[in-house]
Amino acid sequence: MIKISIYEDKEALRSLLELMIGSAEGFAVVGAYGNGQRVTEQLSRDRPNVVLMDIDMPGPSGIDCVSRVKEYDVDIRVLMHTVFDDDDRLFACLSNGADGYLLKKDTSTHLLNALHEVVEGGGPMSPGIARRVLQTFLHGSPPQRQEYGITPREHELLQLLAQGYTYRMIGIQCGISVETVRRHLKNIYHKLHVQCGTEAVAKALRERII
Amino acid sequence: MGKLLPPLLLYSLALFGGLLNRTYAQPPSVTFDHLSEKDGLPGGAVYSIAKDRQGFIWFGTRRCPARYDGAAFRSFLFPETYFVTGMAADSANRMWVSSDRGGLCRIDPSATRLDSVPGTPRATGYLYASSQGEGWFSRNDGIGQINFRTGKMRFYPLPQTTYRGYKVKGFLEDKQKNLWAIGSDNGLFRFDRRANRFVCVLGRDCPDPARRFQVYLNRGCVDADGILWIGAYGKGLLRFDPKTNQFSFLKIPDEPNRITCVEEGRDENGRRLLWVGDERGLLAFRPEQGRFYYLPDIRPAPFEVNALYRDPANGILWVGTSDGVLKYNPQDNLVRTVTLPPALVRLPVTVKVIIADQRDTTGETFWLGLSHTGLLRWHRPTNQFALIRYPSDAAETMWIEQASDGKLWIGLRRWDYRGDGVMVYDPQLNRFVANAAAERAGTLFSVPFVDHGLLDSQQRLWIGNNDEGLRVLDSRTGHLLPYWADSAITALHQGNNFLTDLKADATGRIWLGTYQGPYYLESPTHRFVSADARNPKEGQPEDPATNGLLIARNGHLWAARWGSVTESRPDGTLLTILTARDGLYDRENRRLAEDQAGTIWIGNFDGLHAYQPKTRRLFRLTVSDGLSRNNTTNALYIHRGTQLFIGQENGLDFVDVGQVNRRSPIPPIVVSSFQVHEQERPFDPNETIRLRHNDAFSVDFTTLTYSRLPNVRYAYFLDGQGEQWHNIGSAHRAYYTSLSPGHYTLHLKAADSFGHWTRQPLQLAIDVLPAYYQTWWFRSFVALMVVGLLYGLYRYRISQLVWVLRIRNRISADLHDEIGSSLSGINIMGTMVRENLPAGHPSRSMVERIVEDSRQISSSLDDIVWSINPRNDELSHLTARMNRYAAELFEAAGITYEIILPEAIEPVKLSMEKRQDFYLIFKEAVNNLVKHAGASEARLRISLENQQMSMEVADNGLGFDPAAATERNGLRNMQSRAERLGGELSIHASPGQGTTLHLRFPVSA
Repeated sequence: MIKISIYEDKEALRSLLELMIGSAEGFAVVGAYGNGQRVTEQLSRDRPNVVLMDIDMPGPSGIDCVSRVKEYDVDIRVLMHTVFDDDDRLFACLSNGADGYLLKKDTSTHLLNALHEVVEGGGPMSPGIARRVLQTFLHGSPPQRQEYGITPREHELLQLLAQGYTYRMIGIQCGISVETVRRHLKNIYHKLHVQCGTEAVAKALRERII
Repeated sequence: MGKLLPPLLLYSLALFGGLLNRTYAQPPSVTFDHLSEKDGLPGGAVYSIAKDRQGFIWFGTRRCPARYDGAAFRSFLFPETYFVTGMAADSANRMWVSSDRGGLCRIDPSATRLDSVPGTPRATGYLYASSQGEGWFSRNDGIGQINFRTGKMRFYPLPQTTYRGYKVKGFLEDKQKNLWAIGSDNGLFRFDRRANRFVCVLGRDCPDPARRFQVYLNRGCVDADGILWIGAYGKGLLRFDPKTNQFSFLKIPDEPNRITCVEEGRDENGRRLLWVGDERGLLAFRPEQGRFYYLPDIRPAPFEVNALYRDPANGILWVGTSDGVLKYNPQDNLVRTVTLPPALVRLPVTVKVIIADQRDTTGETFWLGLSHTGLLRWHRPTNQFALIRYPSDAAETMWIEQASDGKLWIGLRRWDYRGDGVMVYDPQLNRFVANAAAERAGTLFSVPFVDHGLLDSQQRLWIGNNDEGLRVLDSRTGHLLPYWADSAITALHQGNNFLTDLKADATGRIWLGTYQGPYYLESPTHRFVSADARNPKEGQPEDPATNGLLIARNGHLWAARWGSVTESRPDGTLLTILTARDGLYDRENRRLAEDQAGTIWIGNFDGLHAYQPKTRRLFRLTVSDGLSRNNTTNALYIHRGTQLFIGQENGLDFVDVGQVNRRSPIPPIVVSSFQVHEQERPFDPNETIRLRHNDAFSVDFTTLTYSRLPNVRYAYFLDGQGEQWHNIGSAHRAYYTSLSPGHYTLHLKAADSFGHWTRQPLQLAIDVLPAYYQTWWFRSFVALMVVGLLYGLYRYRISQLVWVLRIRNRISADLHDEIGSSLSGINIMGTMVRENLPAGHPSRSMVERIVEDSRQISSSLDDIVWSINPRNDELSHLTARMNRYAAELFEAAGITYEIILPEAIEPVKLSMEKRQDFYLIFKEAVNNLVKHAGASEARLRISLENQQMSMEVADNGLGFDPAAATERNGLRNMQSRAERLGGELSIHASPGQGTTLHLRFPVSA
């Protein structure tokens, strides 16, 4: 049973999400909130495995909330729920520790898959996000880049992603399976968190990696 | 005095004792210049003269005070004054004026305004500035005193008499600083400072009966010994010793003795004398003789002298008369003149030859050869002359050579055509002596005309006649030395080639002056060699005819020729040719002399010229400088390198050549007028002149030499306008228009005719203030305004962009928040409904549509929002999105595909509109392919070349007939978008052959 907390300011959508997840097999909604003002308190009470997080919320934004969640417990997975896949704020969330994202247009079909994937540690990546991840690693501070820098293979993969290639295409291009592509992506997410995360998040993540 | 004189002089004194009282028995030989109304002097008569601290001379005239700078007068007409009898400058250089009207007046130091001093009596006279800083002036009822600094006044009444004019005719200060007032008829007063009153020491008011008598006094002076000299009406000149109170009257014999003023001065020889003015003219009083001499012929008519002023700084004597001003400037009397005593010899007579007696070690005895009658011995210090008569009065002296034994060899032209042409005079025996050589020489020519003569170091006597040429004989034996055949002489002088001069140089070579130029005697052949011949024709003077020769101390030969004076090396090579262009005023150059400094003096018919080879300057002295006549061709003799004697008619002139070189320095430069836009402005040389931009200004400057010679040259330059002195000759005005703003220094200087420049050029600081539009703050202001405006425009543009961006962002946000969420909700609800509907439910297809459409709308919304986002203007973002879109679609449809994208896309940007059009064409094409083509393979190729974007979408599907294209596949829509892009869209398709869509459009346009 995967325990889910939902943060979504639109009440209609929130109740739908609650309904949808709640009615799915293997999932339980432990909390549904309109804002993230008391996120730490709510986490300690609800103890979810995954947090489904809207970005644009009154009070602390999704970006802040990601940090707080990760500061509270780095093992709680955060899935960002957004309309756009190349939003600055989305990238900020990913940098702060979010483990993946789901586009709202795909909610009905992909929500449950996405929740599963996030628990397993992988997340999708759009060309826009991939481009920014690349920039982050290319322009990050040298010592960090050395220690937590991406491998040439990961670099290649990110470049292809940024040019719009699908996992399948990448897999063909690089002679690897789609699964391997996903694993690489998972690693990249982790390294991104260390590279960009706030001090506390980064530390927690670092410890986990090491 | 006799003990100090050398024996020869004693002898002379004994011989000419009878002439002794003639010494100085003549008026001083000085020249006066006259300034009158013609020269700009306001009012003809001058009653007072003063000098201010800058050096300007001021005249109080009948009409008003006037300042004189040597060239122009500046008159102060208003307020009206009249009979300005007193002027004096105070320590602040304010000029105080006493006159018959307007009370005491004052002229400010910049000499632009005359102001009445309030509280002074209307009529004041004879103002005097004492050394105590107080002004004394005469009133109709006594004496007034004014403190120049405070303006405080005092009054000392004098007893009333029948005299109705000013009670006092002037003030004097003796060496003990006692002040003396010269009473018009009350007598002479001494000011008792302690008692603060005037005490009469002589005349009507004197308490001592022995000294009490009626005397009408006039102006006076204090001489260097402290003696008071005062003009006494009818009684002559009053001499008063202030120490002993002793007095005497010196009378001019046979004259009414109406002396008006006295001033101490010096004559042309530097001897002290008193200048005395009376109602008929100017006199010199020689105190040691006790005699008065009228100076004759100063003016055509008698004149009254009103005031005398001698400038102690430069010795210039200024005389205020009833007819203008007279000026005697000793500097102008550079040339002194000695006139022969009239009784000595028949006049006119010309001094043809001058030589110093070599045996008089004092160098003060001279032999003067006359044009007739005889020879004069002249002792300069005593000015004694003795005549030695020739056998005939008709003998003209041509040359005199003094042999080493002191005997004088004299060459004559015997115009009586009789007797000997050469005579020998023995000064010791005091008579002519017989000499074989002289007798022989004097009869060698067809007439007794021995025009040239020379005794050389080998005791040879060289003689020459103009027509018949040269002869030479042994001076001891009288034997003729036969150096040439007669034919050689004839050949040299044929065609009127006169022999004009004869000279020997230091090597003993004999030089001849002829009309064909100089010749020399080649040794030992005695051949005549033309000195000019070695020069190229074009390098020779226009006319070779030579009148006189000079062998300079450096051995160079100077030739005075017709139209030129030339210098050549001993070998004849010409070095210098001076002509009228260099400043020779006359063509007949005849005499030459060289002084100690190497200056070559040239005598011709129009002045005495001097050429300084070092500076290459030629200057000229004339009658204006004191020459008796401008004709200086008679005789030119340099004595001991420093004294130049010029033979003249009835006398001679002499110049202390050293004085030419030792001229007193040229006085400092003063500014006489400063004008802005032709308007006189107050001027203080110590203060910075402030001008506005565009002010035209002129500075008249001058040096106060008060010389009659217009030989001062001026120059100026302005810092910041080039460093070159601008020579303006005798003009003395600097004029500038519209200087750019800034600091300038105007440098002014002057030079005299001998080329001596003022040591310290006058420097005037000038500030040209900028116009408001030239000031830095104005320019900064304008610059700021421009920058501000540009910045404003920039800000406006930015804000416009920002505003557009904000709208775009708000639209994105609204779509995102409102519609996006709602669509997601619908989609979720639709999906859930669908899940719960049993299969085959009639509403199922409807629900499917809801789910699908809401997803489509979401997707389109996503596209729209994406394309609005400015960050996605980058072309690479677009291609990435296209790639992802196409790939996902092809993968979902199971189509094998190939996507080719540009490797590295340069940072090219597409506008939002273009991007949208491009993307939608692409989307339509891909969607058509997936939905309708039924293809198994697809190819997407996007490339950018030469700013041209091209896209190719191809498949191996069914194809279609482009002519039968329907509305449904959106072809028209794609076409119109391609047109908007300014590009072209072409579709190649035929049924069963697949479809190829090609789009091409420019990126930049």
